[in-house]
Amino acid sequence: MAFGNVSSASIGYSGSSLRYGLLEIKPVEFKETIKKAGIKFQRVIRRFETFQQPQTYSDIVTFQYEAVFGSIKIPDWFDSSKLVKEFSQRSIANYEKDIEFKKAVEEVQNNKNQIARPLLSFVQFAKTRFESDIDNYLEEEADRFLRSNFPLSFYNKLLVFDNTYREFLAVLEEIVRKYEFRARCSRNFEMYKKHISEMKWAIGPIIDQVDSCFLHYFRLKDYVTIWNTTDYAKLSNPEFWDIKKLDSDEFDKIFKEYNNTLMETRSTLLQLNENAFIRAPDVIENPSSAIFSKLVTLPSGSLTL
Amino acid sequence: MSIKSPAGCFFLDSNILIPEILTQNNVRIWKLKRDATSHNIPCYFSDSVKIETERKVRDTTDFIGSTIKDTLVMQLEDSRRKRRISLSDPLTIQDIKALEDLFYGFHGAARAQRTLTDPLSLIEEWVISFLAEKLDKGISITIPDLGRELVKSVLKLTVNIQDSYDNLVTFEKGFVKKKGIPADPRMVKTVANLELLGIHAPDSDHVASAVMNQILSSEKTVFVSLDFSTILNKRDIIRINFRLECCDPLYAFHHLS
Repeated sequence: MAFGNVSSASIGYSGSSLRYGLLEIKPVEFKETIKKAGIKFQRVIRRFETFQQPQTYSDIVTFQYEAVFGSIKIPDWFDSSKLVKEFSQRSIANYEKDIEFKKAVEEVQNNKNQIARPLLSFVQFAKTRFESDIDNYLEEEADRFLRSNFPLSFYNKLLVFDNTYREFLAVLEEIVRKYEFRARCSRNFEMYKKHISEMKWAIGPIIDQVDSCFLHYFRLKDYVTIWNTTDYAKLSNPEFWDIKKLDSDEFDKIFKEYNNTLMETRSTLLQLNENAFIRAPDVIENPSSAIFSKLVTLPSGSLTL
Repeated sequence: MSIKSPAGCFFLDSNILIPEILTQNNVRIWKLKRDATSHNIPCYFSDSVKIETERKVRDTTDFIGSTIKDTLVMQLEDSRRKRRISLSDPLTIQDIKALEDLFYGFHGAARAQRTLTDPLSLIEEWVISFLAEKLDKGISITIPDLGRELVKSVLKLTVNIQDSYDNLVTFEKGFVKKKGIPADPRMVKTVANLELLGIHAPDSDHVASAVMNQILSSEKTVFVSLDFSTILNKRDIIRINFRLECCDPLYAFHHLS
């Protein structure tokens, strides 16, 4: 995923949005009288409301960037709080522009269309959208590689996060499907609330884990970004990523922490779905696979130009 | 009457793990897996093998990346500048000829220095075929497009390789498990002795781990490799000096029988 890009696609990808849509909610039930063919019926409606003092999307994003810029070395020419403001505002503006995603969140909270399983629909919406954007993320990283002097394996590690996030959405979908189905089969509203609460207990730690991974992912990309531009206006897309502009010890530390969190997250997902990450390299579909297979078996030291 | 499974274990080299990660159909490795599964023979890899496997995948990724960016794209741009053709114009047969000159130059230099030309030749075959196919189909493609498409293709592959690597090596979900060897002064001595026999790092570390496993666990250990040029060609001398069998995966099971 490209850092700070202005495409609406990035919003559907944000862990903050999922937290906002799935955890910051509580079920409510009310009765409504409707008239059909002159006869009055009472209909029970269940939907979700946000907590009385909800964490807004803006709160979550600002908190996220405070954590990012509070934990990395900032160049003299930038001010930490201004960076938080700059990055948060861009993210919030993207969210505000993303009508489709906002509508999906609202649908969970209002359920005006009386969708049978609003939470599952929300996760499926996030998943479908992420999958339709994954090729764009690949293209953005390929483009960024050509405008940098970082090794290609660095970009590979960034894209592994995308793959991990895709698995996360698949795991989330299964959990939400299971609990929401149980909730719908409940005899009464108390049981309904209990199942929704159990769902939140089940998905809470996974969302926390993925959020932590998100944080380290952004921390790494933001660190590289702020050291490769001197202008607030160019933070969204520096012309060139120069590895020589970074403090190598600091970069190694941030990269290692990202990689460790990524591996922890993948391990968590693998425990929840033992078939996760079974995506073998496709020799037929990907012609680069044949040359990779031959190159990797050549003696050490022969891979030089 | 059931046949008693032989006691012992296999220690695998990185050249056994890599084809597995890349899901290549290697008959020799397939037989090793079948033998190990049907006779419950544990298959292990050492820390040094894990490090080497990861390094080989990373180095290959970086080599392909730098060849695309620093050699192909730059050469095409230089050639265009010399011919005073806009960099944003679609690629033509003239650009393929410019790449031909580039690769001739590399092959000549490699022959003069007596170094391997294979790595670059492999990339040459892939890139020229890729570009020729686009031109044949009448697809308009510029230099940045070509660079981006090639990089995307590699990244798509390496992300899947990472999944496969993690399944097999990091999370040990396949037929192999990592086995750490506790710190022991005999390990250092074994590595030094292997070096004296002409087996150098990291191969000396891999073989020494298998030797130490055999000593510390008292179970017969067979070191399995496909490396004929540095390990299997010294199998007799390793057996005499360290009482360790080193063999091709095809024969590994029969050394435990």
